[in-house]
Amino acid sequence: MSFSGALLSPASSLGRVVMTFVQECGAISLFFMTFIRHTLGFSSMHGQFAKQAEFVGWQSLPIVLLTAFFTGGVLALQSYAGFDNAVLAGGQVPKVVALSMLRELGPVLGALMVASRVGSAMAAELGTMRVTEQIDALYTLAVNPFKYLVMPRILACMTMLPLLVILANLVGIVGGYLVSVHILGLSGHMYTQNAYAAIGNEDVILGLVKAVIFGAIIGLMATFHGYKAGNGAAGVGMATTRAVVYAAVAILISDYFITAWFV
Amino acid sequence: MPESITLKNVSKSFGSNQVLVNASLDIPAGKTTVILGGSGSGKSVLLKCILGLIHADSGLIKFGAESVLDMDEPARMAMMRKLGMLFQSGALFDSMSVWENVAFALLEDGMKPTEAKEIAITKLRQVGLRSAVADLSPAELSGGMKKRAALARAVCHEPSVIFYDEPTTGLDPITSDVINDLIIQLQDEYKATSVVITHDMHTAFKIADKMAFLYKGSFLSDGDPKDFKDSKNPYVAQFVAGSAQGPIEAAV
Repeated sequence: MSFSGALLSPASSLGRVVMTFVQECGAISLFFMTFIRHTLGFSSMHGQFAKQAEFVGWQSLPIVLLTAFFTGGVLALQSYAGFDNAVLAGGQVPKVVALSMLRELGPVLGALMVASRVGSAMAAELGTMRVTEQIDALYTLAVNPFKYLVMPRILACMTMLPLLVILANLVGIVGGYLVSVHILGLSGHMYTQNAYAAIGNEDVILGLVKAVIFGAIIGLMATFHGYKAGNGAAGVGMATTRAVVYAAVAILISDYFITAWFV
Repeated sequence: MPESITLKNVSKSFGSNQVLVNASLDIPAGKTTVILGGSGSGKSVLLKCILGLIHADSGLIKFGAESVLDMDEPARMAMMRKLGMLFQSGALFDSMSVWENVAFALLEDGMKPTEAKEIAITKLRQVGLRSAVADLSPAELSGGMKKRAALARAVCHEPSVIFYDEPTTGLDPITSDVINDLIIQLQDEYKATSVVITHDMHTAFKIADKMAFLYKGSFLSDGDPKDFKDSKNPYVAQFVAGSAQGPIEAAV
């Protein structure tokens, strides 16, 4: 390679990456616009929605609640270690656990768990349907594949994640309670009182707004990458990986902006 | 009532790869038209353009009196209700049982599941499958059984146009011939317009009322099967003979 070629190579690689990123963002935006356009005509797909809601909500419950329970416990342990005396800790640990769960860890960890469990499964399923012509088959059977496959999945993610997050928050606070009372020796009554006093309406709303947006991100990334998969088994694998990675990154970035907007 | 299909100067390219180049063909109503062509000649893209799965860049595609390229979503879906399609891989939905696959269009139209299942079992019997197959999942079927089940799904709503994409590919010669007989039987029964895409000459000569030869995205020849057998066109003659020697270079 010539000297000028060696200099240009990183620049052209960077250019290609930027171009691909912009193209991908554009394609995802168009996909989302199609979703918005079809939302009004969704009424005929209730059966599919119920099936997806069960998959996203009910079947994700164990993993989300388990994660939340131990997160609450860890929060109690970690925050207790940060306070100099037990009296101060008794007042502050419940607040830290409750606010962290409601505002941040409930929605974010819940979304990440759902993204890895549900997002990967959805992308793999749709990707396989794409490469085995099942999506084309739907179309030839006079069913709009976007309405039949994409809409119910995105809407199920958007509606089920907030419900999962509400339960995760409760279980996380219970996890913190059990650790605080039975391991750290704090008063149970004080924990409950302080945790309840710390929570305001805006904390609940912030967590739920995040959950709805994260749900949309998970559904959108999973269906977009699955629906557009190509190149056989390798394409399906790539779609699955992208669905999870893109969703996780988008969740963390959007979390910052939502938090910054609310605070 | 069967519909005719007209293609006029249909072109389609993907980037710099021109797949269809001014392809023109009349597909008569109520007859079986076989579109022949080697691998990469544009057969499947042509089929997807007719169905509207891929949008042709230019030209005219008429389904009966309607132009496919100008159709809006409701009109396209109305057209889809009139047609059936057998995919090369079968494309059965693996999240559903065999009978749910076969009765899919009926269930989507709001028919009661018990009624739809009865019709699906009748259609499965029509293509030579036992009723016990109805509750199996597609993964439990052999290649030939999958093709039959897919065929039952394609004709379950009694379409006026049936498309077959490589119906015998991947099947042993005896099963292939059974599928050919089924295509003839269904044609007699439904009097539909059938469009078969294949490179299997045995299948082509057995089922065709009309043949057309697609080469590098354009139709080089069309006519009845006898014309094809005696064709003086060196491309057609080479393809029909299945010879490596001739103007068509084998794709390696």
